[in-house]
Amino acid sequence: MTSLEADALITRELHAGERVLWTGVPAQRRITRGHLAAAAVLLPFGFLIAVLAVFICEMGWGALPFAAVVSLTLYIGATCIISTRAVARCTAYAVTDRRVLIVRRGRYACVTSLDRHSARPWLVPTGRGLGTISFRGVEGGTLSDSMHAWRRLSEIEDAARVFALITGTMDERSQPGSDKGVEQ
Amino acid sequence: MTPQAAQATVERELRPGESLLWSAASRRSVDLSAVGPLWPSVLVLLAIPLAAMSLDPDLRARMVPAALFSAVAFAVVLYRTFDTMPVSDGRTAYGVTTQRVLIVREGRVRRVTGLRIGRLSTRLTVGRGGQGHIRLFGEDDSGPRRPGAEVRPRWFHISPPGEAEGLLRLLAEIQYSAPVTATGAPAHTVPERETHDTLSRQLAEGEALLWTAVPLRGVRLGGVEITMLVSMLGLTALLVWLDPRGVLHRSLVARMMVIAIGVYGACTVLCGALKDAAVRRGTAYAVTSRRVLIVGRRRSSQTVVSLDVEHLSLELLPTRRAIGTILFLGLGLAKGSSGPFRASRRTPLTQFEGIEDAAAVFRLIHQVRGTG
Repeated sequence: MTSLEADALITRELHAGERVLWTGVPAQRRITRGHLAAAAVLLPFGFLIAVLAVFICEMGWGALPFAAVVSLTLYIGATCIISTRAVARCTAYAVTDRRVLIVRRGRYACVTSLDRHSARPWLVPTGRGLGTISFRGVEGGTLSDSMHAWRRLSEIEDAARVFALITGTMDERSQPGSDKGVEQ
Repeated sequence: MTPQAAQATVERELRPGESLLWSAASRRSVDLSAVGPLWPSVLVLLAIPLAAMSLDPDLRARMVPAALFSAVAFAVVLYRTFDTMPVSDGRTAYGVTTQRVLIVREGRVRRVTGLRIGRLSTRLTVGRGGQGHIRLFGEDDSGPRRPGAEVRPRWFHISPPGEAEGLLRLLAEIQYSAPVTATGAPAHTVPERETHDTLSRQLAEGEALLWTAVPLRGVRLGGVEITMLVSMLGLTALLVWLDPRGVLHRSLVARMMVIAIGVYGACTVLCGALKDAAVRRGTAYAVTSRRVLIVGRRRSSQTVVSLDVEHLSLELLPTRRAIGTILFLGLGLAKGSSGPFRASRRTPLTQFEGIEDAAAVFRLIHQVRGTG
């Protein structure tokens, strides 16, 4: 998503008198930490199932269906990764004077409006000048929430300054990255 | 603790300029509604192997380690449940002042909790006996328990004697009684009369009902539920078909046990969907000039959720044909409040589920926040 498309997406969601301090989009990286985490979980899991099938169940060729289970597991993991990338492509972020906005379009359409005062952000640098800002207390705790990591500013540029903007420790006049100053 | 003792206990905690409006001693009670819904599943999954062992002597030797493992798991679950279940032992005094809700627990360690009124979200559950449990979501303004620890808003549980709904109305009067100019409301549907009456009873003086609606009726299965159903039945069928070590082939009881566990797992998923459908029938949603209200009536029980919009985080999930769902974030509503198996799923009573013109309602809630 280009910055112009992101701006258009964000502007539609603004309320009267609301002022945008920053807008951004997630970085389109080929391999993210999510990929590595998924591989770190899925590969040992598949190996464990293969060991169970061969040694404990004494199945021999009967292990083939278990291999199918392993393949299915890996497939589900891969689907998660693909959807994460697809979600990143249709997502725009904004910080306004009232809230943090996460807007998605298309198949994953949703609008998330996080209160700046109660969302309790925390920043994780992800390398190459990028960072992810997560919010304590707004993760839903359900399975689908944790699979898609909906409510975070993932892999954004200038994350430290955006974090300071959200927490109010930075003057709103010296905004990071793409300074929009849009007012609806 | 007598009512007089409770009043004296609470009065000792008053700050200058603060006056006591209501006080009571807690009643002895256990909030069973807070027990995770998977608890019955633990019992059933423990009972099925034990029943199989008693029916088939050949299975005993094979299943003793499994039974031991289940027993240990059962003990852990039992300990965790009683450790986290909201239990009122009758030694707690409650007080509502002009500024705070005070919860003072007497005992070997005296614990005082003060919740600032003005930003409180509440959840009332009334059972068959008419007595209710109230959970209050807010920050304890008496400071962190440990030096340097962060004070986070969380749910506090109280079991007041008598009619709990009256206490809730008092809190609403204190928080929301100032009149607010009503803003333009989106299209709304009127709930059934009893539910509408319950909604109206919650309103404070000067508080206006801006929008009401009922959720879409019927059974709904989400992606997670369908995946769980298919995987439970599929894995059971796979296990019976492959039959490692031929145990299932030799013993009809073992075969039935595996099938029973698989079918039971699928039934729990289906029952959750059926229960949600039943809850939806008696559920109504409202946005007032100050807050968000969710009322659920089912047989003789009733749930009233009141969410303060001032610092509420929201999420709008559009679905088909202008029907959408609004989630309320940051309140832990999707989680079970207690028990080792937290109910990590949303129900019609934790969100605005399947409402018409959801985008307009989403905007309305933000407008209410701006005027509050």
